[in-house]
Amino acid sequence: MSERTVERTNDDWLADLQGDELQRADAVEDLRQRLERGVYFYLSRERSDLSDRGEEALTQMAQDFVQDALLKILDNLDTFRGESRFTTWASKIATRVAISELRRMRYKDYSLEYLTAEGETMPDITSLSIAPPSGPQPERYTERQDVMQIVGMAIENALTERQRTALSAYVFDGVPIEEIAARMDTNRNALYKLLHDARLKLKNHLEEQGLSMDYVMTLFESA
Amino acid sequence: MGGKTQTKANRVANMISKIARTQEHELDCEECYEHLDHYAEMLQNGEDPSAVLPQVKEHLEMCSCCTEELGALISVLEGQAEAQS
Ligand SMILES: [Zn+2]
Repeated sequence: MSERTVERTNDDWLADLQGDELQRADAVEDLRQRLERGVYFYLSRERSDLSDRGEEALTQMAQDFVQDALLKILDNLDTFRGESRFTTWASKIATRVAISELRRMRYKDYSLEYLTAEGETMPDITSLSIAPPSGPQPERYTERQDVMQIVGMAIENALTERQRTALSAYVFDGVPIEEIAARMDTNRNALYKLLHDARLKLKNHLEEQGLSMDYVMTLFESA
Repeated sequence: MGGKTQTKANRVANMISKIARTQEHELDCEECYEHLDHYAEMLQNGEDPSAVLPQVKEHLEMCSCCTEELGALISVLEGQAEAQS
């Protein structure tokens, strides 16, 4: 109740964080506490993969993430465009830091070579069977397998080696694009674009085969 | 083994559905990130961000990384609000 929570407007935040030493220290500390509460909440409530870590470890983790984030926030104050509350914008940066670090930890042992080591290539999707329909439309099952066959062929024939590798890691292993990018000497944004180009090529290919995209969508939406 | 194959199959199905919904022009992750705070705040306020930021919504449907980050951001904001009341 008697918390020292100062409610700052966006302008207050910017002024304080760029103000004299005392103002600045005060604002940074408020922001730090706020972000740590938020990040800790996320780590403890939403991350079942971290449930074996104690409160202390999660607190430490939250502190480390927020420390990194604060440096980024203070370095990038001039990019804040005021489209949200300042604290929401700062939370976005802290979230990105936390998630990226958690991904790095989780996939630290992952290698793209596993893809080939397991002998799995993308055209093999035709050997996967998507959950047989539980509803009254068993014929959809066969239709799905047919489309998968076409997609598998298109992946083999229409995509570049890089597109195939990225798509395989993404779809087969469910690896976040950020982590795939790190292993392909590129960045997340470029990898998104690479996958976008791949999707576009595959879409065009399916359309050339006379398939309507609405049909494909309904066929796979519920799968 | 069966379970793993199942998950892969579902991811393949999901990818094919994404292929069918692919647009000629899509926002990339950085462009999406620029609007993510605004987007999250609208959701928090019970507003529909898809009317104001339709392309962000489209990107989120295509990109599981950005979707995960949006979910995490909403949780981080919730954690701040909770501790204050
Ligand atoms: Zn994205």
